Amino acid sequence: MRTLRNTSLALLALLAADPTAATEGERIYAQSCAMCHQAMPPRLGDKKAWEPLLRQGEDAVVAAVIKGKGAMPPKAGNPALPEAEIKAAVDYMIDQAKK
Amino acid sequence: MYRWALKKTPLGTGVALLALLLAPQSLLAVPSMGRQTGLTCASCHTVYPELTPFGRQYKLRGFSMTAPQREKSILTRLPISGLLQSSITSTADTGTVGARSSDFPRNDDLILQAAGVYYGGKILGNSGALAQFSYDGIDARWLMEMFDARYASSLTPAGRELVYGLTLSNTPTLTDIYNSTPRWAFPYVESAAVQPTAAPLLDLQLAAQVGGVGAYLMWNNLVYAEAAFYKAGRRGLARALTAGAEIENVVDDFAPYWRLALQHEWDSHSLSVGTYGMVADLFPEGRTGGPSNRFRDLAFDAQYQYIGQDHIFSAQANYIHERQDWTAGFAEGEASNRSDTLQTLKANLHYYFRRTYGLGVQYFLTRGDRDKLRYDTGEPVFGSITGRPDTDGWLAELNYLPVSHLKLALRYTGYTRFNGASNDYDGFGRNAGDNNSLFFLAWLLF
Repeated sequence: MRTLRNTSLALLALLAADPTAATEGERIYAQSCAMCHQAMPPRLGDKKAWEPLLRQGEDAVVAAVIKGKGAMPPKAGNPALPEAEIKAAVDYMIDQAKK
Repeated sequence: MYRWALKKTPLGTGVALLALLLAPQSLLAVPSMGRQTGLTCASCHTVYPELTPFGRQYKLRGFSMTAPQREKSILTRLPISGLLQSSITSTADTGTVGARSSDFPRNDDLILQAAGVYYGGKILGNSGALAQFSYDGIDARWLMEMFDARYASSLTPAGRELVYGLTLSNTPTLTDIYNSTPRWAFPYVESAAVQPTAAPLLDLQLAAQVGGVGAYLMWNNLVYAEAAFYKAGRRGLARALTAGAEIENVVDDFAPYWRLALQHEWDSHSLSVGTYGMVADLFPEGRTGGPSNRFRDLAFDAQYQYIGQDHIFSAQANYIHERQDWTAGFAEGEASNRSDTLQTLKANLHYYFRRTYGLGVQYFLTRGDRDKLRYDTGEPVFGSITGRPDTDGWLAELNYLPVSHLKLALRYTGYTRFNGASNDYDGFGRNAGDNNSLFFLAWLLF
């Protein structure tokens, strides 16, 4: 009985999670962010480089991407990139920094 | 009086206009780099050729960063672009007694100032290049106007990134990443009008005259350093890098060049301050051997940029001090003094609204020792009756970019002093203000 309940909860949790969000973020990252974030800091998955950005919070990071900051061009150099996609890519990159 | 009579309409101008009409609206500057990265020109340039902080990173990293999805298509990887520059220069007064029409080349004519191709982008792996081979419509010759090939990589010692690279180039300061050193400084394109006689070596006197190798680094996005050696572009690889150019300033042996700058970026702002210099022994004009003259240049520069969505503001300053030792020149009666000094200062401000409308202004000043043999050549227009190189004045330029890859510029240059004096500076009755000029430029990248 307990096993059945745990299995059901696990299935529910899987269903509740949005698997497409991570996929979408990864796809946008690959398309619009990877060129720079593979070549220069903060690189994808580099916990130390992402630390100060994580302290600022996700909203601040998204705002910096939209507006541009330092070497980061506004909207990653693609003015047509929707804000929702920017957020998905930032989510993905933050997740990678937390792993 | 300015006379823009458009007396001639060269074939090149027609070609330029045709290309303009055919050019698609979505092109990027330098277009092949845009195709490689998939980024708009605004990512790398405020307005070309001024670099943004990202543009500096792209250059530092060897012009090689490539959008992953762009790797597949051969066409999008082809790093070739074109440029066309058409211009009109109108000098205030060309009627000085004794002056020749060749002293004011193509004055009041609509000319094809430059037409050519760029190799712009990745070569292989971490290497890339920005090279321009083009026709110079003022000197009527094809030449390697600029060549900068580089390899770059990076390390992260103690958590701080160190980007390092090697360069092969044909002009001191061409490899620099800031727009405060001469090769990439406002106003970027020279008119055909008469220029002051004296300029320090680092102020483009060795442009496309030398070939050199250098190494550079950027530590922690804070410290930029570079060292290079240049050789006369007369033989071998150095000749290939200066292909087509007439080598008038021949460097004896190798000339070392160095550069150090500090930079800081915050929000939409960036600031850099730096110093650079060069020591070069040059043979007297027309010679390639024997005794030479030594030039020691020490320069300081600074740049500030604010890059907002609608408003862009940038300011640059550049000071060069040159000591000239006339070892050969004094002995051979070409200089009155054993040594002279020459100093130049340029300071400019530029504002752009939505990368479409712009206004730039510059103040410039040249001061130096009196040297009758050097400067009082007895020529109208170019001579100096006082034997002094002192010049000062200002310029203002209006810009309009109807599309991102076409820049229109209207520039006024005004002199308050020219080659040592305000009035009758050449001894032939010519005044400094007679060299004032209007310059119109259409600059298309495709």
